[in-house]
Amino acid sequence: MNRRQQPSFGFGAVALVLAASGLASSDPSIATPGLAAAAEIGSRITIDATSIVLAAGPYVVAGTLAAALLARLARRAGVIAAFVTVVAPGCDCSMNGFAAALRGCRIPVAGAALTWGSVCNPFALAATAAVLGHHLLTARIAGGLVAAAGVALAWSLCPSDAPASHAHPCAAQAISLRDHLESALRLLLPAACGASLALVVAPRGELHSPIVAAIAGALLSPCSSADPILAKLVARSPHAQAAFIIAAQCLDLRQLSLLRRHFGAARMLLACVAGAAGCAAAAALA
Amino acid sequence: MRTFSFAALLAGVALAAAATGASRVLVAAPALVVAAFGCATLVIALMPKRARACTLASACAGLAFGSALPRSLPIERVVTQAPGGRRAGDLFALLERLDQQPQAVVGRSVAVSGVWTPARADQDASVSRLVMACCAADALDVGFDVAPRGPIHIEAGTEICVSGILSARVQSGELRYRIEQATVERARSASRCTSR
Repeated sequence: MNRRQQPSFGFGAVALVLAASGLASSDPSIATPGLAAAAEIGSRITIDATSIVLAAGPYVVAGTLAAALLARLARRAGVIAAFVTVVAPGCDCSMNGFAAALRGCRIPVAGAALTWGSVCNPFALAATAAVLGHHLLTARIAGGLVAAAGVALAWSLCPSDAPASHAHPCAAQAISLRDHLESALRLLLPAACGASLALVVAPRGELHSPIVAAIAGALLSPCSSADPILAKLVARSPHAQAAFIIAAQCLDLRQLSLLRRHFGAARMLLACVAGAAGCAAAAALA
Repeated sequence: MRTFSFAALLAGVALAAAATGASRVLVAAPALVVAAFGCATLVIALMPKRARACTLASACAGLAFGSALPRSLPIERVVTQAPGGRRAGDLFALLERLDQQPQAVVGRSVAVSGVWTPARADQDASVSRLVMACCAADALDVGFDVAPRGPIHIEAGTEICVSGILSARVQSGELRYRIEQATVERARSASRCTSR
């Protein structure tokens, strides 16, 4: 049977959970100054990472269930999945569960659908219009279009060296719903930890340059429904705000780890270039 | 084969966070949604008959971790900019007015309600409200710096009313708004304060 084996790391995981529990509930006032500062940083990272995974969890489950349902109901599930990815009013977190449903369609189409769905899903567009106004909404749509078209073009020129998850559709069906959900949720954890670390160690202050704003957006990796509010609060100029929201969805840790897992490192790097082009287009238009 | 289930662990964390009230400070979604997510994930994790004991052990570890999560988070840095969108409350209304017509508000007498944070060595006292779009990681405290008239003996996290004169200043390259000569008192209700 073509089932992927789950790694067994029970003792390590239990030790990690106990350590994280200690950090989450630690009281810095009872330790020495150095230890107190380290405990405070560890506590903050643990709490932020937990909150990211908890907030994304319902969307991941919804995406996983939708992908499983689509795979059962539709013969041409890949094409329908690409359409659903583009128009679904879900957060980009659901892409982690839904990406597997895109196995049936052509790789450039899958890449474009994932990019557009992350940047310009209806939730994100509505939040951008409400918080940042229609000018930034136009910039977001333009940036999303450039990034999605760039991914499709770059991936269509890339030689077909798809990783196992995309090359063997039969293998996908052998994976149970439980394993599918496991891998989608586990994918969130490193990205959530990376974003939390960036939140704690990054210098605070207002962002003026679009390049710095784009780097901040990529590191902070907020949800597409939350990035307009963060952009308004941390970036001053419309150019920086536009670069922040596009990078937060195209160049962020969660999106890149998703692309690497399903499409390989080479295509992830090409998607980075397309995402950077989307940032530049949005910043120029804002 | 013994397998550790991350899904079951997360289900335990979600159920414990919803039960203890920690989910209110961690995520914007209601506790009911977090609990439903925990239940659905646990059911899916328990679907295969193999290694159910390990799955349950993972869920218990999640419950232990979730029970240790904090029910309140300290206010670290207050942003004095309007967050946009429609939000109820006098503090957000004043920030919106500042965003649109700063010259009509700066230098005038204002009054806002919010959560009190005392001054620290590197930071002014502040009155703020939490803006959370998704989770604690993207949450920001939005409000005003406060320069009280005299010493204030109100503990952090208390709902207060602040009234005083609004001023604007640039601090470390950032435009910040501060309520000067401020009178700070405990709010009788968490609704609105009136300007003197």
